[in-house]
Amino acid sequence: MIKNIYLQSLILAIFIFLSGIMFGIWIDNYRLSAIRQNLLSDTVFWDDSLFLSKYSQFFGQDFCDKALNLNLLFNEKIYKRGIEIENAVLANKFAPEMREELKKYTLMQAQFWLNSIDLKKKCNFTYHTVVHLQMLNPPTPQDVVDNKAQANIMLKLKEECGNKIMLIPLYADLNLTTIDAILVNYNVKKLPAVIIDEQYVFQGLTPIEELMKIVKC
Amino acid sequence: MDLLSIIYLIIIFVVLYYTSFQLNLFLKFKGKVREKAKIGKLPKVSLIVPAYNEEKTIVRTIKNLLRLNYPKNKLEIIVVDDGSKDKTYEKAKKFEKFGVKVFTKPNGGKANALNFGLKHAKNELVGVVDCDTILEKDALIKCVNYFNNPKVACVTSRILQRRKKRILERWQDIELKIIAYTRKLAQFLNLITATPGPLSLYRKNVLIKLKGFDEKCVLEDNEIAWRLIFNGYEIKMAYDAKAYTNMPSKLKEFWRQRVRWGIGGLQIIKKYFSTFLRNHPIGTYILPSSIIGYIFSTIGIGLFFYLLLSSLIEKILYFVKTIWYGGNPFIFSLSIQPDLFLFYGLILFSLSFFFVIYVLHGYKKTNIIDLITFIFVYLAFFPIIASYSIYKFLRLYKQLKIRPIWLTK
Repeated sequence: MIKNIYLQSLILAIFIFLSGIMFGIWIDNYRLSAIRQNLLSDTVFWDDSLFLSKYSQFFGQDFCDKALNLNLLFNEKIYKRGIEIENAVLANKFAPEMREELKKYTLMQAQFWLNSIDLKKKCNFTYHTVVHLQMLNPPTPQDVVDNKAQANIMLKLKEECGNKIMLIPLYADLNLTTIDAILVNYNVKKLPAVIIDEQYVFQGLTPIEELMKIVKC
Repeated sequence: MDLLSIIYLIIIFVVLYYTSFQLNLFLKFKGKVREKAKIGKLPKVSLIVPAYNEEKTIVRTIKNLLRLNYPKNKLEIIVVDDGSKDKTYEKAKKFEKFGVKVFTKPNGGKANALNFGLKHAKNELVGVVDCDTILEKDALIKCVNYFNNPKVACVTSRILQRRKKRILERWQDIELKIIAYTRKLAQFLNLITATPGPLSLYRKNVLIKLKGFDEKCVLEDNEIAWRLIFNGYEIKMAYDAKAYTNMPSKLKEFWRQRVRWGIGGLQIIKKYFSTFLRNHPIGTYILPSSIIGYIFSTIGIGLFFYLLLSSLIEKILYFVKTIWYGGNPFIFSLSIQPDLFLFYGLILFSLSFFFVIYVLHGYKKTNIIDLITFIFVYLAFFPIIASYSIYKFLRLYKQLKIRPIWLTK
C-alpha cells in the first residue's frame, strides 16, 4: 500500500506533466494556425491593395485615392498583426514554424514598403515612408530597453502624424536575405534604426524630435 | 526551448510529484484524519517543562498542567529551570506543594534540560511541554491511547496559535492548521518528521535507548523524530489533542525563529546524509524531500530575484529613456499568451488552494484577506528564509558539530 502511494503519485505527476506538455503543443499549434489563417486573409487584402496601387498609374487620381486608403488600412492592420505574431513567437515553445510566419510577415512588410514608395511616386502623394528596423531577440539588456523604447517612440510618431506617414516595422534579426541587404544598402550598423523616405537613416535609439525634423506633421 | 524554461520544467515536475503525493495521501486517508484512538488503560506520564527566562509564562503553564483531565496519581510534572536569569525558578518552586517537581541547573540549552528531566522522570511515558503552551483539558488523554500499539514510540499533538491579533500571528495560525493536517496525513506512512515542543509524548525506555535528545542539534524535536523513524519506531499524531502556543508576533522574532529552524533542518540533513537514497523511509523520501526543499527554495528565490530585478531595471530604464527620447511610456499593449507554464501554475495553485480551503473548513471562518495575503505574501518569505539559512549554516559549519549517523542495517 505504501509503495503504491509513491508509485501512484509518480504516475499522476507524469500524467499531469505530460498533459501540460500536450497543452503547450496544442496551444502553440492553435496560435500557429490562427496566425497562418490571419496571414492568409492579410495576403488577400495585400494583393487587393497591391493591384489597386499598380492599376492606379493607368486609371488616374480616383484609383490613386482608393489605393492610398487601402494602403493605410493595410498598414494599420499589418502593424497590429506584427505585434500579435511577435507576442506569439516569444511565448512559443513547441512550434518552431512560428518564426517562419514572422519571416513571412516581415517580407510582406518589406513588400508593402516598396509598394508605398511606388504609389507615392506614381500618384504624387506626400506621405513619408518610415521604416523601423527592430529586433525580435535583442542580445543585451540595453538593446531590449532601446528596442522597446524605440517601438514606443514610433507609436507616438504614428499617433502624432496619422496618415501623413506609413510606418513599416521590420524585424532585422531573422536572417532574411532581403532585410540583410537593406541593412547593408543603408549601412545600418546599430539597431534599432529608422529609415525615412529612403534617404535619412537614424541608428540606435533616436528621439522623436530628430525624426520630426524630417517628418513634418 | 531555452535553458530557463528547462529549469522551470524540472522544478515543476518535482513540485508536481510532491503535490500528487499529498493529493494521494489526502484522497486515501481524509476519512481517517479525525479518527480517535481507542480508550484503554491510562498509563503513568511524566511531563517535562523546560524553562529558560520564562517568569511571565511559567505560572500559567504549571496551572494549566495541574488542571489537566488526567488522574493525578498517574501524572508527574517536572519543571527544569535551565539557569534562568529571571525569577522562573522561584515562581515554579511555589508549586512544589502541589506535587510539581522543580529542578534548576546551569544553562545548557533546551535539549540538555530535556535530558536532565528525562533522568528524573519516573513514569513509562515522558511528555515535553513548552513553557508558552496551553493544553486543552483532554489533550493528554487523547494522546496516550495511541501507545496501546507497542510499535508507537511517540505521539504528537495538534499545535494551534493562541494570539491572533496581528497579521503575522494570523498567518501563522493558518500555517499551523495546514501543518497539523498534513502531519496527520503523513502519519499514515510513518513520515512525521517533527515532534514539536508544545506537546509530544515519548516512551521513556525508547528515549533512553536512543540516548535522549541530541544536545548539539538546534532542532532537537525534529531530530528525535528522524531518529525514531530511523530506528524503526512509529510516530502518531493525536489530531484531536490540541496544544495552543504563541508564535512570534514581530517580524524580527519570526525571522530569527525560522532561520534557526532552517539551520536546524540543515544540521539534521547533514546528520542523516549517509542514508540518502538507501532503502529506508528517511533515505528514500524524508531526506530527499528535505534536500529538494532547500535546493528548490534557493534556486526559486535566485530565479525570482533575477527576474524581478532584471525586469524592474528594464522597466525603469525603459520608462526613463522613453520619456527622455520623447515617447509616451503609458502607451503599451497588454498581452497574455497562455502556455504550458500557465497550465501547470493553474493546476498547482488550484490543488493547493482547495486543499487549504478544505483544511480551514474545519475551523472558525478565516478572513479572506488573511488567506490571500498568506498565499501571496507569507509563503513568499520561505524561500528567502531557506536561502539565508543555507548561508548561515555554511558560515557556522564548523561550530555546528553534528556527528553523522551511519546506516548499519
